[in-house]
Amino acid sequence: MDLSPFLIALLTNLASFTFGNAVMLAIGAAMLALGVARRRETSLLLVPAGFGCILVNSGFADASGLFKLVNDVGVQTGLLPLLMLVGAGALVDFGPLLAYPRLAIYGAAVQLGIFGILVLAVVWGFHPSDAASIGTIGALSGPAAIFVTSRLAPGLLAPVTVAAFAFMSLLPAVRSAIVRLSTTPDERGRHLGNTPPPVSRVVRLAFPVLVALFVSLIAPQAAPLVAALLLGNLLRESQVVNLLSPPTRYALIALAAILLGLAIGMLMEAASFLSLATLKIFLLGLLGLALNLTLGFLVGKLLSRLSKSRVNPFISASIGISATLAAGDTPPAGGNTKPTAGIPIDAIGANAASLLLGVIAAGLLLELTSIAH
Amino acid sequence: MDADLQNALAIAILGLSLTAAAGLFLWGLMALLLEYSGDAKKVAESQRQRSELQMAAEEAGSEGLPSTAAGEHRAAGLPRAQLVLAPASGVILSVAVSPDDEVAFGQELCILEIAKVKNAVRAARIGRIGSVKVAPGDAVKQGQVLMEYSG
Repeated sequence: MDLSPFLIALLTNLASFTFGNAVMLAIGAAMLALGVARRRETSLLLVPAGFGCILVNSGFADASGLFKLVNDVGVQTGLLPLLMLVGAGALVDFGPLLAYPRLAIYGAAVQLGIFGILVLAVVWGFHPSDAASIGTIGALSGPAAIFVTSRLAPGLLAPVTVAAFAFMSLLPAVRSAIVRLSTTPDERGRHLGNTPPPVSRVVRLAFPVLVALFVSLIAPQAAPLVAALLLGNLLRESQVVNLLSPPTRYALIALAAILLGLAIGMLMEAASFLSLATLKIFLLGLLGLALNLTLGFLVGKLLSRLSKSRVNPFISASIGISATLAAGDTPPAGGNTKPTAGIPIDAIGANAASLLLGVIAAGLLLELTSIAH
Repeated sequence: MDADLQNALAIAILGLSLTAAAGLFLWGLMALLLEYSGDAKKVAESQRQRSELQMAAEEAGSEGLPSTAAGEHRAAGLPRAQLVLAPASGVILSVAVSPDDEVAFGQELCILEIAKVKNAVRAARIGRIGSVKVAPGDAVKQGQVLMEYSG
């Protein structure tokens, strides 16, 4: 009996383990740690992605199995990120935005950074399609970034997704700092009233339908993204979602995020992930995020000043609450110094606005880049 | 300037203007919807109440009770709402009061999680809580009655 062929084959597997694989194991472990330590919705993606990264870099071969299937059917086609957006739409309340329509301007302003990053990335040697994908990291809507990247630059899916979700899960910490920087103690104590902005059901139902209609007319490439978000919202406002019990309303977004995470993790092979391009993508993504946060800070402050306190100064921080998966658990009303300082309705509206306009801006980027090529 | 950069600049300029246009367009669309549904008046009314409450709160002392005569006067003039309503849809995390509790102006009544952000619902007036309609873990809709005052 000769065991040597078996032993040699097993040892060959071990020998194919490179230094790069070891680095990727550490990155996978770091993603796991981030997902576990800061347990929030982004963890649904980060934990499976970290696990997938560890699997694929320890030689896990899955040429035709489940994981490849999830990647081919769910990620490369853009199906899973769109399902995540449907799930996000079912959770977001556009009521406060509808009551204060001027917040749409805020939502648009905080997305302008992504176009600056596009130009910067091209200057730094990226192809325009790749640059557009990198720009979407700053939109702070993970699913939109993944969808745009799957259409424009499938090769960059892993670094763009990891950057988007890692930054999103670290954001709440930054947000408290922004609240403190952008507001005075007096503003933080400002009374905002406990009166809900009354918006009737007809308006809530008409809004998603009308917006989907206009976006499809003007930018058909952007339409799938925007339509997915609005479909989710229509399901919510038509109270179809109410047929589900509250915990199961998260089921769609959670399932899509877990599968997406696993597929992305499996794309994180050392040979393709460990490159200078990945480092540049992380830097540009961070810059885009900083740019959008700064814009949010300034525009929020400006709106609040111009409206003589009719707009809550907290909206400066609301980009950080971007509802898709970026939510945190820290109250933005970190300094409710005065007793009646209540719920920042404007902040919730501005948050919904930045989510909607973020998805629209990502869609426009996709549309324009497709036209250019 | 090479072709890629020219392309990128064109995309950026068009994208910037279209995103800004989308913001303006949505503003107009929502304003129109509000106007035609008659909700605009209701929103204006709720904003007026809000700024009155704000003035009252600014005159209130740091203890949460109206400290100046003017503040007390204004607080007394506020609509004596019998109901505590949910300001937005969310999930009740905790309830800080029980029936028959006397509450002070600005006292925390319950914690409501809205869009994954914890928010305190506070008493808009002094009074006695009659009944509490919600319990921790309840999902509430915007405008739903959370509590009733009995006095």
